[in-house]
Amino acid sequence: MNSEPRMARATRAVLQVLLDPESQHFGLQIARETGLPISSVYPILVHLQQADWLESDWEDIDPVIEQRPPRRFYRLTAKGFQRARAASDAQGAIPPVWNVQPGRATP
Amino acid sequence: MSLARVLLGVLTLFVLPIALQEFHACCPWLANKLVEWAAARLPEPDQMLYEAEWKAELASVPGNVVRLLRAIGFIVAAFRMRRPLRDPRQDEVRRRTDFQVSLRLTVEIHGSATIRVRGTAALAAVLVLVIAFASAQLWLASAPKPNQRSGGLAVCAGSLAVRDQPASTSAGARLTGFAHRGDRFLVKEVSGPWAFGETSGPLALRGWAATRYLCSM
Repeated sequence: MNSEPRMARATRAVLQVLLDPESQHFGLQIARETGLPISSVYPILVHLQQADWLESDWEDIDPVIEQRPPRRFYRLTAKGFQRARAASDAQGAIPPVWNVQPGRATP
Repeated sequence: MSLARVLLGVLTLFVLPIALQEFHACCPWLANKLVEWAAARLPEPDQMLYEAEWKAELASVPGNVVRLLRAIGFIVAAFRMRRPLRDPRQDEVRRRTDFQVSLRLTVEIHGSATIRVRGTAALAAVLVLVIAFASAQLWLASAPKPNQRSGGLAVCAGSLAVRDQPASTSAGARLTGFAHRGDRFLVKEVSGPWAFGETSGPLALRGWAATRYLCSM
């Protein structure tokens, strides 16, 4: 299934987060940065994957050493990056959903 | 101090804290169970994948109760992900199954209201319901009226003329007359299914008798 995902506000917010190539993105982190509930983030991620805009791989860690199971990281494909960039340029910066300011935890 | 107060005190001091502590301790286990249940709602090829992913996500969440809330979020997510994750071939199989056995009604609203009935069995059920409703309406419309059932004489309250229709008095009661027994008549006061009173007399005096009956009301 390669249908184009609907560029709703929530989808654009998720794409905006995924456009950052520096960090590794996983479900809860995307939900935290967009301010969307996880019940909305995961269906969007599924749609993006089915449109070949997104791919995922598992964190390469030893669960015994890290004391936690590996996470699943999401990153944009070349096609997804291109479309997300185009959507971002066309629509401008997307204000965070629910007026939650995106940010990262500081040590 | 009443027994109820003592019990309330014991409940507040001992039982409630222990229950809360137990609930707090059970939260991670419960969250894991909820995630497993949520993943089981997904199509089979994706179940293991998302269960592992969500358990990993839960492991990074601090706080037992927050973990439980996140797990509830995964349940909602699972229900929303079912449709996009579903294989179109599975859809075809499900549609065929619906066609054979389903009695489910699917109502979809697109701008204007549209009711879509899936499956021949569901269509047949709807048709039977419609026919039964129409038949009931016809039966009610053609059911014999009280005066028709008696086949007798009815007395109109206004003019006291003898007619074949039941009459209403100003008090809201209905009068129905009968003339079964030779030259005698019978007038009944009827309200709904209940009869409240009656009078009878020679057929020739029916107008006078009905007047007397009405005046006595």
